[in-house]
Amino acid sequence: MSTLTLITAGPYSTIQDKGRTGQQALGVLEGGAMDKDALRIANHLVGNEDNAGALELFMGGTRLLVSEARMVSLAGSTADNAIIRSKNGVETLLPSGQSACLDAGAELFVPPLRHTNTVIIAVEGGFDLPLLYGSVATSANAKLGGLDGRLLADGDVLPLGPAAPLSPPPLILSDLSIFKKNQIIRCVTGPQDVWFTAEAYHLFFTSEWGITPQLNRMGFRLTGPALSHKASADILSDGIVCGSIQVPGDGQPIIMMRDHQTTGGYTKMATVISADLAPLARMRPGLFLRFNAISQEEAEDIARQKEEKMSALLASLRPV
Amino acid sequence: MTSAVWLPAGDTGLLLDFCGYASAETDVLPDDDVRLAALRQARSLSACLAEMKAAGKIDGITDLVPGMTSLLIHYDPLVTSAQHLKTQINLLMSSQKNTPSSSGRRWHLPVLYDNDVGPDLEEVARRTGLTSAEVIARHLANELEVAIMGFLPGSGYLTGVDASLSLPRRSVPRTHVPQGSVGIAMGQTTIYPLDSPGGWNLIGKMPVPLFDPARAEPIMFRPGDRVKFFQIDDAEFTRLKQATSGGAMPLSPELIGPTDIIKASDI
Repeated sequence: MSTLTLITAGPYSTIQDKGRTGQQALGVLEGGAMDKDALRIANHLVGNEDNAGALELFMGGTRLLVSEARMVSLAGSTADNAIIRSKNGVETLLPSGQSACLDAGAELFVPPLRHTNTVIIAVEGGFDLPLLYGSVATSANAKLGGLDGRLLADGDVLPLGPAAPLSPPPLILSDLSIFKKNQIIRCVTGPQDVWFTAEAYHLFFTSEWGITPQLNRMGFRLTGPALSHKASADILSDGIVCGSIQVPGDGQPIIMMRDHQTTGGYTKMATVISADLAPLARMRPGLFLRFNAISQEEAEDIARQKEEKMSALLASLRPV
Repeated sequence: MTSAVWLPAGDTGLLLDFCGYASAETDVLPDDDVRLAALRQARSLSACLAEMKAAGKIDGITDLVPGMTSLLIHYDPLVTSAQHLKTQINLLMSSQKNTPSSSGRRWHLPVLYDNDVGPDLEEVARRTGLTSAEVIARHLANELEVAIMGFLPGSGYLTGVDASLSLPRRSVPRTHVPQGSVGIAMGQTTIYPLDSPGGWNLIGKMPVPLFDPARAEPIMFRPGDRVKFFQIDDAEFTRLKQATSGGAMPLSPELIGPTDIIKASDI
C-alpha cells in the first residue's frame, strides 16, 4: 500500500474535500475545504476528480514524504511556494498553481504561509480513508471524518488511493488571480437584518471590519463598531449556511465558515455570497474588509459566472 | 395562523420562517401554540421536500434543516434559483396537508443521576426549591420529544420537560462537558453527543453514545422521536457502556406509530 507520511504535520492540518451535505437535519456539519477554489484546482493539477480528499494546511509549516512516486500539487495562494528536496539534497520550488512529481524518499516542505490562511496539497490518487456520509472531510470540533475525526499529527501515515496507470505530466495554472483575497466582501442582507437598529444596519455596510486572530475553520471573528439590536440578539434556533454573519449580544460579527454548527440562536445580519467565501477565507488577521450588499438574484448570477470562469481555468491548465 | 415569510440566506439558502420573524421588534416570543404550529409546519414541509427530492421531483435542494419555527432550505444556485424554489414551494404549501410529522418511534433511555456525572444536580435542586430526588423524579416523569436536531452530530433539543425544572443556561459555560452528559435548560433537555464546551445544567449521564461513526447507523435520534428516561445505577451504567464498544448498539426504539407534536398543555 502506498502511503504519505507527515514528518511535521503543522498546527492545524486536516484532510478535506467538498464536505458532506444532506445530513444537517441530524446535526452533521458540512465541513469541507475552506478554499474550495484551491481544492478543485489542486485536484485537477494531479489528475484527480474535483472532490478527491486532499491536505488542507492552516498556516503551513508542514513536511511530508510519500512511499511511492506521486504527482503532487499546491494551490490557494498567489505567492506562497512549497519546496521539494530530493533524496540527494537538491531543492526545487513547487509554486502555487503547479504540480510536480514527488519521488519516493523526497521531501515536500510547505513553509509557514504568508499570503493566505490555508493552502491545499493534492496527491495523485487521493487518500484511501473511510467515507462518512459520502465524504472524507475532517471536522475536528465534531470528531467527524478524516483520520479518526482529528487534526493530523507528526508521524501520521495516511494511506493513498490507487494512482492512474499513466500519471499526468506536471501542469501549471498560468493565471493565479483566482487565488486573490477580496477586501470588498459581497453579501445578501438577512435573514434577520430587521432585528438590528437602523444605525447598526448603516454601520455594518459603511464601516471597515478588522479580521481578528480568532479565526478558524468554524468562523472568523471581526472587530469594529458595536452593532445594536432593536430588542434582542437571541432568536429561536434556526439553520445556518456557510457565510452567515451572526451578531451576538456584544455586537461584534462572526462569519460562520465551513465547520459552522448546523443550527444556532443568534441573529444574522447578512450572508456572504458563495463566490466570495474562498477569497474571504484567505484574509489574514490584521487585514480589513468592507461589506457590500447585493440581491439574492445578483449573487446567484455571480455564482454562475464564477463557475464558467472556473471551468475555463481548469481547461487552461498546460504542461509546465 | 401567521403566514410564512421567505428570507434570503445568501445565494445558497432560503429560510422559510413560520412565525419567529414577528418577534424582531418586541423580543416577545410567540405563544406556545403558535410556536408548535410553526414547528409542525417546518417538519412536515421538510419531510415532504425530502421525499420529492429523493423521487427527483424537485431539483437543486442540497439540504433541509428544520429550526424551532422555520425551515432552512440549502440549494445549489447552479441548478436552481431562489425565485424558482419559492414558486414551487408556495404552490406545494397551498395544497399540502399538515401530515403527521413524528418519527413514530420512542426511545427508553437509561440515565445515571448523581453528583459526579451530574455536577449541577444539587444546584438545580436549590434553584428550583426541590430536593435532588424530586428533580430526578420530575426529569423522569414526562415523555419528551426531539423537537429539532443540532448543533453537533446526533444531538437534539428535547422539549416537554416538567416546567418546574425550567432554568436558564449556566451564566458561565463549561469549557469541557463529557460525552453522554444530560443537561437541562430553558424547559428542554439535551444529551451531549461528544466531549464539547457547553452551558446546560448537568444532572446525569447516558451510557450509550448518541453518535458513533463505528455503528451501522451512526446517529440514534431522528427529529420527532419520543424519549422517556429511566434511572440506572453505577453497575448498570458500566454494563451498558461496555455493551457499546466496537460500534455495538444495546438499545432500539419502540415503534409507536404516528403521533402529534407534544404541547405543554398535553403534559
